[in-house]
Amino acid sequence: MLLFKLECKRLFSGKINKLVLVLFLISGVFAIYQGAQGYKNIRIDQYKSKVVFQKEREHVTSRESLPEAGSLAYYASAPTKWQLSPWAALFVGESQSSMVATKIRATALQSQIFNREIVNPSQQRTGGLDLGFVLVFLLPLVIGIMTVTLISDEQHAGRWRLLNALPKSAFSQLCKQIALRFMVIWLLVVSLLLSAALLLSLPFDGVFWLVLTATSLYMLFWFSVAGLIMSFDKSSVVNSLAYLSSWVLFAMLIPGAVHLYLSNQFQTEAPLEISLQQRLVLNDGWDKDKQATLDEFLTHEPRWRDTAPLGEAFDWKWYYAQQHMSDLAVQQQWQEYIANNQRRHAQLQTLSALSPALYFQLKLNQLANTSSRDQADYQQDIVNYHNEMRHFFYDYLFFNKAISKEDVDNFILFEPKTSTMKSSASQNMWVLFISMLCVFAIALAAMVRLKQLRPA
Amino acid sequence: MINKKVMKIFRHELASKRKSPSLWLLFIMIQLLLAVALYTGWQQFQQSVQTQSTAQALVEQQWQAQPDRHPHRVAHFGHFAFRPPSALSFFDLGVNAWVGDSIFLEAHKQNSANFANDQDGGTLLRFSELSSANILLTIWPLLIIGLGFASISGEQKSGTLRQLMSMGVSFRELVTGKSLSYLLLSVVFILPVFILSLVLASSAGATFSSEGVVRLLLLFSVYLLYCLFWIGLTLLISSYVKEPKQSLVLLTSIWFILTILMPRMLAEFAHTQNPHQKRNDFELAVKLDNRKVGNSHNPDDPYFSKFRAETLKKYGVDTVEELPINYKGLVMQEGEKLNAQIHNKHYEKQLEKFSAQQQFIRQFYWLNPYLFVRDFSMALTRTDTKHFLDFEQQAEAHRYARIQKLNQLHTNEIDHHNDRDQKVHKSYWQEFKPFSYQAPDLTWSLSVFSWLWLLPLLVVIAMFITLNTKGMQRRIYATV
Repeated sequence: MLLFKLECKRLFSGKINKLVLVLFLISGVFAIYQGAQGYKNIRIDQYKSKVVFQKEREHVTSRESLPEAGSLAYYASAPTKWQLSPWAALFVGESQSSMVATKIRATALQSQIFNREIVNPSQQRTGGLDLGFVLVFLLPLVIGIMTVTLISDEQHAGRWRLLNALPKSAFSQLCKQIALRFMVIWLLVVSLLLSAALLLSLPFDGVFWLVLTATSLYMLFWFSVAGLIMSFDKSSVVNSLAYLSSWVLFAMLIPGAVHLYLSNQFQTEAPLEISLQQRLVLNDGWDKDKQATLDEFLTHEPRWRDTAPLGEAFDWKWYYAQQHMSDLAVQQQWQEYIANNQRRHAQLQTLSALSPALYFQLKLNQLANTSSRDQADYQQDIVNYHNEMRHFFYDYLFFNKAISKEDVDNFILFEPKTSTMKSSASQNMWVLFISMLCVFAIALAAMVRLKQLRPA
Repeated sequence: MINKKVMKIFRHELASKRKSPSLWLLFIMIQLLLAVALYTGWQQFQQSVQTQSTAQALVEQQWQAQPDRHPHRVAHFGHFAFRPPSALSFFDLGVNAWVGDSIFLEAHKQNSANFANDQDGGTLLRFSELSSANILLTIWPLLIIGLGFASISGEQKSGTLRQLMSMGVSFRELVTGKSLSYLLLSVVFILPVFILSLVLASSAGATFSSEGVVRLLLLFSVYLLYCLFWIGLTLLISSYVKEPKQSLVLLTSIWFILTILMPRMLAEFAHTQNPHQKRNDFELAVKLDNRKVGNSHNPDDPYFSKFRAETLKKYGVDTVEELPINYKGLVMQEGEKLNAQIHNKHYEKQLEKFSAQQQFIRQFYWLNPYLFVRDFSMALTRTDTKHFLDFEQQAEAHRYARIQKLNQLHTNEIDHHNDRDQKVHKSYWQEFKPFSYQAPDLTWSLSVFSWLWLLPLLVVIAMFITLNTKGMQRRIYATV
């Protein structure tokens, strides 16, 4: 007990140690606060979009006579919603830089789907500071600064030789010191996570424990790196430099290289080409035979085959048929583009194994439903909803069914799919298990090497 | 100031660094990294130039190849504006990943730039791309720290400082000699990437002018200033802290705070202080304002009733049918004008928010030269937010002019009676000038910095003055 007190005293006596811990805590609190703000804004955006749509709908139904279905569909911009987990406040991923409440209407999908959120690009370039950043990138540095010079400091102070002469080996002493540091940092992490959970009223469900376990594992990894570096029995300076270099490698260089590789490998001009072609088809349609366009449309949408032929005057049903035909004209490119993105996500998943920092970051984002894969899922939800919405209006447009106020009230709303979140739970356990094995192997290697260490 | 002793220290320091294998390894790796970054940056740049110019040519050709059409049909057909990458963007990618490259220009609606290259940004771009500028900004300082963290404290610890002093070498000479050697090393290691950039940039031909050379020279000097800042800081900390290990830990902590933590905190804080509107809010605000002003499609709309009365009065007729021109075209022109005014009003507000955010960060240039060099570098390579917004504004100006020209055609060439069924001859489409982005000149690029560059420079000078003060010298002598 006395020794423990002594160790604690030593740990907190260094100015640098204290500075680093305080810095870590401040960044953590700042990140949680900012994250909560950002998440609140997302929720407001999503909620507001819903309310605005509701208001517009009430406005329409309060009128004496409803506008015709075509005109109604033209102005009905219905909200959608990227279903984020509340953890998105802590692991923001793509959620702060992309649309979380895209509005969509029954006109051509391709001229709506590429809309972007308004961001301050300077802020995006800086990189953002969420709790994920603090855990993935700042935490290892804290571990390094407090651990990597343990042995060399003992040597420097002349105690290492002494400790080795004691009946209880220097190794067990070292283990205690490392364990103490682990506990101190771990407690800080837990208190950050707990306060975040309370502040954001996150449920203490599987995800919470998963995040905690994964973070502990990630900590263990960096402690093992520090242990491995120490086991080479070099000076404090060499140890520090080696640790810093591994941090730069895992945190900056590998993710940067992966980004370069992916942008190179999956380089695509598809969005641009799709937009250009779709617009051309859409506009050329006005100069084409309208009945022919409608007939072609009906081969794709046979449910409305029995519609009456077009008359002389402008007809909304031609308008929407033509809109949809322009989407179909780029259908193949669009599918290829989606497939390309899926391959990219899969490749990123594989490559992320190169760096634990990258891997951990990706997993955290995926847990919070904010990764680019989740974004792609949301996009797919939008596409599906757009289909439902089109079909909703087609009955009125093609069969001249009169639209009633009740119909407007029963207009289908966007339902986010949550299946992706749940199906991955068992998968998560496997991933965690395998990572655990890997980290334990590294930790074991570090322990074995450290145990063999003897003063020269 | 530079005497024989200084030169001796300088040569000795260089010689001792030359012997360190780990430094050699690190230097080689950095050079490789810079080379890879420059190469990929160059590839991306060329690819981007190719894509943007082909696409721009394609849309111009599509525009001109249109058949006889009603002008308003053409206004909805619209046009595209593409943002060609700036000549030096291969060196500093700046905000390029986060902003779109093209804007769809159409009637009644101001679209934003789409198709950015920010996929997986939340996972992979947490430290921005591996561009040459980014490597020099974040990784290079670590090398300088590695070179010099022990330069004073190490000499002190090993006792060589005492020997040097007894040989009559003053602390001032020691510091000057060491600074010079680190400066030389820095120059040697950052010069290749600048020379290569110059070669690459000049091979790009037309996009690169004599102004480009000035920009590159300024870039080189600002990065040299950045090196000097880190050299000064390293020597300062190394003199204050007695243990080399402590000075290393302290320096890396400072590095982390200055290049990683502080920029993020400031950017987030600036955003919370001056939040700009999100897309949905912005569009809603524009839509609501538009509704307030008037609906040109509604014949009983008060604004447009007044407009009709005024128009009739101006031409001295009683009905719109009697007008010598097409009233519907006039309404289109007026509607577009109002719509653009409303949009611009809200857009200006957004711009104010953006610049308030930037203004907040600029206050810290003196405290954190990283921020200054990063922003200055982006301004020089035309890759900062300001240059992007300039593109957006040029595109909007082009959109407005193009649509209004179409509306004039509508007014003058289409008869009011049976308006929708008429078309104008396709030869009119040839009269529209293509969109070409006018890259701003150096004065414009740097206008926000007016005297702001002076502060970081003063900070660096102050650091070296501190190193050379009597107090510092006494402090060192006392501990030797």
